[in-house]
Amino acid sequence: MSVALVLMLGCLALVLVLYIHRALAMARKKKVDDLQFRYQYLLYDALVESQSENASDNFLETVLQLFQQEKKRSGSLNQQVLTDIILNLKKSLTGAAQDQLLELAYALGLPEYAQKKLRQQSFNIRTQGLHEVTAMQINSTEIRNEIEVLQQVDTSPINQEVILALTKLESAPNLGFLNKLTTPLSEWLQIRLHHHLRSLERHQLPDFSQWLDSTNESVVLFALRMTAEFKQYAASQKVLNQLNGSLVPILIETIKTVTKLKLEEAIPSLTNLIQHENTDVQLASLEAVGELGNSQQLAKLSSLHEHPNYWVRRATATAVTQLESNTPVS
Amino acid sequence: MKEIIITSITYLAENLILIYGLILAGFSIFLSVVGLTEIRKYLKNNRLDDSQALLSSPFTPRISLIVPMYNEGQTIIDSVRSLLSLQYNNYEVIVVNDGSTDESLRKLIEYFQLIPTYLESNYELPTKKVRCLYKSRQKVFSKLTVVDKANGGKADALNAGLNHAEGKLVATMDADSIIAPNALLRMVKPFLQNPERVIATGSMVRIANSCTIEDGSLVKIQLPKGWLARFQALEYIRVFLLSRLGWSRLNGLLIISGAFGLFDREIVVKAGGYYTKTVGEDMELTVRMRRYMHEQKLPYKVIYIPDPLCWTEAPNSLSQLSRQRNRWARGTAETLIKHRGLLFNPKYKLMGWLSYPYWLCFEFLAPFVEVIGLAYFTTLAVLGHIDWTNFLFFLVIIYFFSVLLSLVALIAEEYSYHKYQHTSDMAKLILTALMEPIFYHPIILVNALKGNLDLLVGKKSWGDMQRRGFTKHQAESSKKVAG
Repeated sequence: MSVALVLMLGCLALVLVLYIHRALAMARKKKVDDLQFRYQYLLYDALVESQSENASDNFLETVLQLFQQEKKRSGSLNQQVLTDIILNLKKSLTGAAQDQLLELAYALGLPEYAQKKLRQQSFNIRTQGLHEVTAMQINSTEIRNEIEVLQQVDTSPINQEVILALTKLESAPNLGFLNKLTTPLSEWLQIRLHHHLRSLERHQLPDFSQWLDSTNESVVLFALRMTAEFKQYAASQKVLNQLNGSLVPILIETIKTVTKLKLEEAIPSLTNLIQHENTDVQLASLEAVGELGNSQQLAKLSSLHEHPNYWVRRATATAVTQLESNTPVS
Repeated sequence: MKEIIITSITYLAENLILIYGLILAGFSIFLSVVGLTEIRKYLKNNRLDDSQALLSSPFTPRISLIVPMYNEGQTIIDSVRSLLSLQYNNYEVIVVNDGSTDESLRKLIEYFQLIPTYLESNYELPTKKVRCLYKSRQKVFSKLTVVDKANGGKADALNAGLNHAEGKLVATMDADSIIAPNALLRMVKPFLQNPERVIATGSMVRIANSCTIEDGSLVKIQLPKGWLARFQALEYIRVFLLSRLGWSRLNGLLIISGAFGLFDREIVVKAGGYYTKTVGEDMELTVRMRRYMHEQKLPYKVIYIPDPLCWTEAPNSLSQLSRQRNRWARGTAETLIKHRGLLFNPKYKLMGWLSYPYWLCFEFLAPFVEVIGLAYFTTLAVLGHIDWTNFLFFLVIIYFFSVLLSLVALIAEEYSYHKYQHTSDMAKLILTALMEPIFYHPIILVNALKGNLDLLVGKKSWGDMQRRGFTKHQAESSKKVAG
């Protein structure tokens, strides 16, 4: 009897929770939507006003005035909504316009708001704080110290966010953490690091070949990928040396790197690697030989036409076609 | 003496049924709690949208999206068009025509301007004869490959697709499913984030009945209008958001839905590809891939993500639903029988100790236990040995427990993806949860039993599913093709 009653009351409680949550969520959404609309309108209004003849020269002053009036009117400004609007807008702006927007964020006290989040216990809020701090480019020693403290936290996702934040805050990215890394550098973090690195000028980038000797396999793979991506030809010899290695993932990435860097010196080694016992190495080598080689390598490929593996046969056919077209007509 | 025997049997049966029910309830509560925790963690870790980095990266793994097609002429053009515009920068779409007898292939050839290639066919995984590989002469459709082969069933078509897949990862889906534009971006993330090798990911499958679909894409989400589809919508929310997510957290997931899944191609091929002699090829493959990893002593994960990335048309009539559930029951039974060596086998760790026994006892055997229980209570009632008050309370407890689980799933949905946004949808779903144990559950029970009986008599067929085809655009595209 009592079990049935408890279950029935449990069901009723859940129905109530569902409705209350739905009502609260809708009210919250409406409030945020209204504020977003209002703030966006103010920003747009300031922009129009700053263009008019008798307007103040300073866009920042104009917009701040408007927001001060808004603050008086409604009692306070919703800093999260403001942060979201400004950072979203920043993504689609460049140069002076972007700088002005950041100035506005500073004038509205949004960096302090973001900084507060770093001290929260919740992973969610901390991560959001890290994103906002980096997006607002708040590069003070105090902030850096606060972020470095977070690096002590022993959860992988937050550590990844910290690494990214610290890298993004430096004008010349400090990838020193790669020297100390004992765990694998995830593909995901590599992608996100690369996404940031490619927004920088080439001269700001470090020499990635310094990590080609790392004992951490994932760090070597990352270094090879970045060397190829940013065309660091000075590292060519170091890259070529990796072709003598025995670790299959590194060997495959090296072959891809020499292909991207178009290192023709690698052709003899690549031609030997075509006979490698690992099919993936064979496939990468065939692709590289097709890209970099000429008709002299054709003879070496003939035995692979009858290879038992379909993909090797197919890569051979592609490479042969490429080599034939690479050969200058005499 | 007769009284003693009856009393003893009654006592034993009542207790066995009670113990079975308690363990099942305990498992359900446990999985729900784990599932809820996992949703919270997933949403927390994926709250900030960082898809831009992935979308523009040259380091994303290549994905081959395999779409088996059999007489899908009604919707195939829209489906493929939608698949060719997914948000991912490194993928190909392989449509495998499994000997369709309608105009599916002709429509594809004409619409996408396909021409035969001279590439040899790959039979790394044995399949029925491949007649031709087609590529489009239009650069805009360069991602598309069409494999035309003799009819051999869905698993055979998937194997043919696997044979011609260039990607390191392969996504498989049903031709009549609709996947979200960001589906590949979401599904690939576990492969990139996890330090352990991820061999497969699956996502939540939702019911698309009554939703508005244009050009093969979902444009408006609505709760199904029909009761049967609505029951299934609730069932899917419960199963995917609580049970599968719970199993994923425990790394004990035994099935990645055939509607949409992403797999490590190397492991799929090494495990032997899809098994063509079962109607439950999705579960069978997942189990076999896991077995392979255990046997090779390789650490791995099978991950399920709660994002609703795949939308599918649910059976609209009782006869269609019966055929589908009959097939699912047979598929489960076939897989469990084929992999019976897993049961309590320490070599397979959690899969042998927990996942397999759970599926055996609470997925496969549950309908039998339920029917035995019903038969037993009916006998007692006929013999006048039943305590009606206790019996009614027992039924009430089961009923409210079922409703409670559905409501917990609705809470999970409300706190996470909140796809049904009308206030009236909430009331409809609650009403569905209240009605489901009485009206829908018996249908599922009967068909699960029938499926097992059919398996005993050697039935192997899939059964037809009449698709209504959800696109409004359909008529238009047909005209274009015809023109």
